[in-house]
Amino acid sequence: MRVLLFLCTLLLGSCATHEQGKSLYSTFLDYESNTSKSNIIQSSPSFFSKNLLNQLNLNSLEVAEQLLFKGYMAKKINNFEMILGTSGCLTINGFDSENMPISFNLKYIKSEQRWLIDEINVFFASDEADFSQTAKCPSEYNN
Amino acid sequence: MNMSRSEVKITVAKLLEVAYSKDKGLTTKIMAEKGRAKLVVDQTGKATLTGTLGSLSFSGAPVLNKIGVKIKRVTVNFENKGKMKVVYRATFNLEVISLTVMGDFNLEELIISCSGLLCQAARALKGRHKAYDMELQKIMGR
Repeated sequence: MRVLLFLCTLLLGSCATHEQGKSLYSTFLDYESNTSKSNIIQSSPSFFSKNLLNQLNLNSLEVAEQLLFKGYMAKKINNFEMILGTSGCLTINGFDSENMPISFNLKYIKSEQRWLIDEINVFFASDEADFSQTAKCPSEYNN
Repeated sequence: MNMSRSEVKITVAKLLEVAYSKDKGLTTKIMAEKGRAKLVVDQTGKATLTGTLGSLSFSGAPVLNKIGVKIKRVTVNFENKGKMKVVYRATFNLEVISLTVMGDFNLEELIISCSGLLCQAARALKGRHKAYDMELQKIMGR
């Protein structure tokens, strides 16, 4: 019985560790592959924080389009992330549909063991040399 | 439709154009001075261009209203590197996302574009002039 309890504890512990260790980038990929024009409003609580959504008029087409900011990037090159406790930042570098360099700088917060997007910055770079090689938070782009 | 890279750049140029049309002397003085200047537009359209040689307030609402996207704040940091070359970083805070663009332009080229026929035609059409937008886009870079 004790062995069984120990194994159950170990199993639950490893699950929790796996969820906590989930990378911000894999969370972004979930958002990218599971959202579309037809479901963005309904699915938004799975990917965006309450703090972000509470300020928005979710009936607005403009808001829906901005929640689908993933459309700005056509090709991803690399990504960098930094986690500090219950918040973190993810930078994804890539190119837009005109092959111009572009980056996403996203702030995530952890809520009920899930990473949710809390702030979004889209950086239109002039050159690939402008790509950050470290994770940047959106606040770094708010002058 | 989300705001594009070129729309952000053209909007920066148009805001400078409005400042210039309000006070040519002060706008030129602020922008032509080597060093830093800053343009801030709030959600009501109240715009302020500030540099070491002064400050100019004007309404950016006519420019922002034409974009068709709700804008909470615009911040543009300029740095005049000398010889009329101005580098800038602009951030547009929209409802959900913020858009940041970096670029550079030749101040003289921008002022000349705004004194010419294209600029006058654009004003006559209340800023909706494709050729003028293309001219501004060329000046502000891709």
